[in-house]
Amino acid sequence: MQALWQRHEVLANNLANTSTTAFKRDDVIALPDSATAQTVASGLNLALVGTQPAIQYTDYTQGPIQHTGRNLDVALDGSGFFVVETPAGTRYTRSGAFTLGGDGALTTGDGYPVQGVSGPIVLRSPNFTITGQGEIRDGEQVIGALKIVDFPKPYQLLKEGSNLYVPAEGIAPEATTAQVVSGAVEGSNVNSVEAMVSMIGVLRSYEAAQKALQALEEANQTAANQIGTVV
Amino acid sequence: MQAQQLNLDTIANNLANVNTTGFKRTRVDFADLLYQTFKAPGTLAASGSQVPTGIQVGHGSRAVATQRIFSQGDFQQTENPLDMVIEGDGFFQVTRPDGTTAYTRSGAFKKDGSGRVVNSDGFVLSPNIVLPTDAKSVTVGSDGTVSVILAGQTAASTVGTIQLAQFVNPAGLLAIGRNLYTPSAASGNAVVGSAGTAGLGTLSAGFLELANVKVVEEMVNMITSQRAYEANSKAIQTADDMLSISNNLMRR
Repeated sequence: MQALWQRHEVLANNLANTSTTAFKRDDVIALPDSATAQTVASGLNLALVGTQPAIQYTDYTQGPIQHTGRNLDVALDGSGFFVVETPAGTRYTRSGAFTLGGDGALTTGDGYPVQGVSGPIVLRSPNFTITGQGEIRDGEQVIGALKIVDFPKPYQLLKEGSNLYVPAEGIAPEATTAQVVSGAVEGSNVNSVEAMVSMIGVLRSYEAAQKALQALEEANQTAANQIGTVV
Repeated sequence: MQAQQLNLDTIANNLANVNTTGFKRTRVDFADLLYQTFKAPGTLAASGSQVPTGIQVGHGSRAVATQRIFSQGDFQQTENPLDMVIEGDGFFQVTRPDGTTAYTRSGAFKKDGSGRVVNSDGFVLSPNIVLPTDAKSVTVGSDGTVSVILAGQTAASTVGTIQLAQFVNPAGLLAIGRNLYTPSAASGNAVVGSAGTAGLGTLSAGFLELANVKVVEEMVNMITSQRAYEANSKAIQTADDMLSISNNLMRR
């Protein structure tokens, strides 16, 4: 039942992030716990009581690319991440709803500077275009290029909130094949219908687990109170 | 749910301003909240192998920024010579009663009793342009030159030039209502220049810039936002149901 509760928390978080830029949904696969399986010998369905949240995974499939027409919005088509410098160190994000600081520095919505191939990107004029390779051009002149990296798969990334990811210890960024789509942002890859259906499933499984426990309790009660009484 | 509420508020404000001259719509950007990490990916599992993905539970979403989108609005012909549109980047400068300068995209200017060019609230256009009382017709050129034809004359005479201001980051401007913006640390300082120079747009007189709100798009966003709100309320309801099931584990 704890596993189901955790799955519900994960699904609720997905639903809360249906509007979050470039959000990647999480899910839990509950596997039968072998240790519990051996001790619960009463023939109960192991999938109901004998589970632990063994595997939680993040689904990194591409989110929908939503056209905005704003030249500071960029979406990544393909697997890759933008590089952001935060006070806590280098972080990675797929959310390309960038903005400019008063000094013209390209930053995230939270104000963290976005990294270019050669250090932070500073734009002096609001008139520029971003090419598919992440080059920032003012007319024909190349002002800078967005730094885009990828990680070895399966991704060993920790979600940090604020659309930021931090790689696990010892995981180094590598080259990417992702294309930059300018004037668009990547939407959340949460499918709300799917999430609602899963949530109904979780609720009913939880209910079923309760019934199973109640049946077990009843059996115990019968064993304790009735077996052995002289009729 | 609070984030979606803010989204709906923003959409409602966009829709309310669909007829506001020079209005620029805003958009809410969302980010996920902090995660509680039960098991970090990449840590060593008991058997000596690595945990491939770990376990993290998120705490929902929050609004990270409201972006004002300064895309060009549609033009509306008015044939009023003091109605102006900026085609491209830039803002008109007006002097507020307290002497500070505010910036606007709304080019619905008028002449006041003393011949000064003012906006609908009576704030004076900066640099100040005074139209002579005997002016027959007023013409604003694409570079901002204001010329008049005086009574009894055939040649036009220049009475001033409208200057535009631009910002490194217009999205960082503070909207103060009345179609006005004031600079902030995020917007950078105003760079003043003549229309048509240094990346500034050109002026078209006799037109007004309409709001850049697209009603259909806003309605679609409103439906999406409303449904997301609903889905979140269902998630809370489900949690409530699950807790109630837990409470009924023991039947007495």
